[in-house]
Formats: sequence, C-alpha cells, structure tokens
Amino acid sequence: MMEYENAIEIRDLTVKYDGFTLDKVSFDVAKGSIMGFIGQNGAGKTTTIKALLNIIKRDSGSIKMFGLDNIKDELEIKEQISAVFDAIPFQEQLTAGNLDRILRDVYKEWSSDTFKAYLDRLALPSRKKISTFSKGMKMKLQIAVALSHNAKLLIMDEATTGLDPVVRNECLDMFLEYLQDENHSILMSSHITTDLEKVADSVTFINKGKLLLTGYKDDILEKHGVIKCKKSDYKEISPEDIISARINDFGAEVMVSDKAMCKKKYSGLTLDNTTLEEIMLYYVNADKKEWC
Amino acid sequence: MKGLLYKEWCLGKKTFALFLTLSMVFTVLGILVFLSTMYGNLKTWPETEPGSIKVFATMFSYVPYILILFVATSVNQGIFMDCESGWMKYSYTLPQKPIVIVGTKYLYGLIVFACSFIFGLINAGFICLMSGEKFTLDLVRNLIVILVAAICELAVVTPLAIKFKSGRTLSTVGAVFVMGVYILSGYIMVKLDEKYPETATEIIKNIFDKAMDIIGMLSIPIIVVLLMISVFVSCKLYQRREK
Repeated sequence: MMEYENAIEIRDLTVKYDGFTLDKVSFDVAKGSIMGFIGQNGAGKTTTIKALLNIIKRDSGSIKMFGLDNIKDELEIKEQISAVFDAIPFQEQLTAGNLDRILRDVYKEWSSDTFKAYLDRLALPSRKKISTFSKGMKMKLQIAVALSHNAKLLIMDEATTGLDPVVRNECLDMFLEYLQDENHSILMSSHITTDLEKVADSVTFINKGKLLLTGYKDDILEKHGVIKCKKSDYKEISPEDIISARINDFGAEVMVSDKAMCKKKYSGLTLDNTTLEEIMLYYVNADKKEWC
Repeated sequence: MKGLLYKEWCLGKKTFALFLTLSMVFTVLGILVFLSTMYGNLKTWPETEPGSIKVFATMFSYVPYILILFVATSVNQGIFMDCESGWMKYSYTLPQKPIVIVGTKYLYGLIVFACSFIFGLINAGFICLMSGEKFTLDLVRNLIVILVAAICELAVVTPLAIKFKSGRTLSTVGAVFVMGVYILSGYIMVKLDEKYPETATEIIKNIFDKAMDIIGMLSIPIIVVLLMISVFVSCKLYQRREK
C-alpha cells in the first residue's frame, strides 16, 4: 500500500436525494487520529458514511482512502477498513463462533485469536445466538469483529448511540487502545458530543447537508466562546462576531467564533469556554441568529 | 466463498435437518406400511384389497417431491433473512466481489438441492423396493422436474429479494401467484371436462406427461440459462447503489 498522510480525503462530495442534498462536503481524517463527525439527526452523517463505503451513489466529488480511490480500488480499501453501524448487521440466528468461521475466509488478515481474546475480554459468549444478546453486547460484538482483521480505519455510524454510559466508556477505551498504533484511524459519527470530547482529535460538524466546521477539536474549543451578558450589552456586540445568541428573560448568551479577539474587543463582558454540544447548538441556530 | 457458504449453512441447517428427519421418518413409515400390507395387520384387514400396495406406493412416491420443495423454501428463507437483516448493507463493506456475495447464495441453493435430489432418489428407491414396483426412469424424470421447479424458484426469488429487500412481500406475491396458477389449472380442467367428458382425464394426463418429458429432457439447458440470467440480474441489482 502506498504512503499516505490522510486515512480519508473527501473533496466536494455531493449526494442529492429527493428533499436533501449533501452539498460539496470536504474534510480529511489524518492518519493516526480519531475524528468526531457531528451533526443533528438528518444532517447527512450517514449519507457521507454510506458514500465513503460506496453503499450509495454520489453525484459528484471524490473520496480517497489511504490515498486510493474508494470506487476504483474498492476491494483493496475494504480489506483495510471496518464499519460499525448503529444496529448489528448479522443475522440473529448466528453465534459469535459462527462469525469467526465466516469472516476468517472473508478477510485475508482475520485473526481468530484476536477475536477470541476480544470475546473473552468483553465477556461475550461464543456459542450463544446473537438474538439472546443485549443491545450493549451486540455493539461489543460488532466492535470485536471490526477490530479482529487488522483494519487500519474504523468507520462508525452512531455506534455508541443508545448504549448505557458503562458500555459506552468501555467502547471508547477500546477505541483509544486501537489508536495506540499510529497507522490506525477512526471516523466516528455521533450526536453524543461528550463522547467525542473525550476521545476525538479532530471534529467535523455538518448541518442540513452542509459542512459548518472542520478542524482539530482543541482549536475549535479554543476559538469558540460564550459571552454571557445583559440584553443591553448584547446590542453592543457586532453581528459579524456572533454565530448565534440565546436570548431569555435574564439576558443573552452569545456564541463567538474568535474568542481571543472578542476577549479584547469586549473586555467588560464575561467570556466563558464552551463545549462541542454548545457549539453544535449555536451553529444549528445560526440561521435564526437569535433563539430562546 | 467458503466462509459465506458456511453462513448460508448456519442459517439453513435447522430446516435442512428437519428435511432429513422428515425424509427418514417418511421412508421408515413407508417401509412399515408396506411390511404391514405384505405380512402384518394390513394384510388381514378386510378393506385391504390386492391392489392396495400400489395405492400406498403412489401415496409415498409424492414424499420426495414435497421434500425437495420444502428444501427450496428453506433456501429462500436464508435469502430473505439476509435482505431483512443489515447483512446486505454490511456485505458492501466486505472485501469481496459482488459475484462472490451473490453467487454464494446460488451455489448454496444448488448444493442443497443436489443433496435433496439424492435423498429423493434414495427415498423413491426404498419405496419401489418395498412395494415391489419397478424403479422406472419416470421416477427420476419426475424428481428432475421438481428439481427444475425448485431451481426456477431460486432463480426468480433471489433477484427479487435483492431488489425489494423484503421476504414478506415476496412470500405474499408468491402465494398469490401459486393460487392463481392453481385456480387457472382448475378452470382449464373443468372446461376440458365439460367439453370432452369421456376423454378429459386422458387428455390432461397426456399433456402432463408430454410437459414432464420436455422439461425432463431440457432440464440442464433450462437450469443453466435460467441461472446465468438470474445471477447476472442479481449481480446488477446488488451493484446498483441506492440513492
């Protein structure tokens, strides 16, 4: 496989559905990093991931994985990636032991030992049918499968959604362990931003099919801030500095995208650090500018 | 392909085991009935006429045909399970060519049908042996015709299941189709009986025998052409990415 800097390179990806357009989305996932892919339900995260996996047809744009074209070099790429979906894709009559026998002939680098080690570690029975598993166990099984063929890239679509905090943390720990190898990368779509805050190196945020933000998580958190002020002070803030503002009876909370500059410019006002969740909320309401 | 074949086996093995059990139960049952007709209680029954053994033999000769169709249903079930679970979506993430993903379903179907054909022959052989009837080529021909019907079903159902991703819809459409054919055949038979009351049964039997002969003779080209078309269409449908 050729040398590459980015595990994923998406350029001007456009997919048009009836009533929805994924509009010229571009972003990179650097080799050895974990990218959080954030957005509301229906923002276009799953569409992007499906296009990435060549499950749906794209209208325009290009997708490269490990420097290879995702359509022309599909089989070579698919040997190196693993996808984890929000629901288990395996038939419920199968057992984990069955999956081991099935997939050892599907992937060149499938390791039964690694898979069995994950099953032991995650306390998953190998002889019980998947139908008897809880939701958490099903997700753990998907992750065990994904990590057992030496994949260089994990693509996860809402994989941790609906799991209890204990299982979610267990999964996140496994992802961080997986990233200990500098050749491994993860693209993780989720709307649980607290998870991404814990593990992500970079973040891409899309809304209504459009890319709003992409970059290193720390940079994004560093740049953004929330000014908490009275309504009268809010009027003094230049509209071009504001992403959007939450107005209530007690005052205003204003999201700004250049914290350092705003700190100087509005030195009399309180400027707090923010979270990915708040950033997502304020960006989603950016069209309205003011919201309650 | 071995792994994917194993998956199909995992999904269908229960039904196949049931098929084997039923096959053996009916064979044993047949043997017992014939033994009883020849040497046991049935021989001494006042209702047992000299030709009864022939009637029993005819009754049991349908068993292998029914079992082959039963196996065909189990193959369809596996395809429906794939389409209704997330497996089809997941299969797009596997490093396998579409022909391998789709072709496995056909290959599994053919292997299972071949097994059921062999069991059918054994079953028919036992029945002939016990009833003293001749093991004729007609028996083999009938089994081949049923096998062709089962393969036709596989060839039609697989691309449709990939297209519609729903077993229930297909089962309903299939049931309506079979009922339609049944009603139409009934209608034709009634009409023939009205028109030729004396010879209708003979005419139907002749037509049926001719049709069976033709299908029996052309079975291999029919199967090959049908499967080639079906595999091609299934691959195209599988490759057609949704929007």
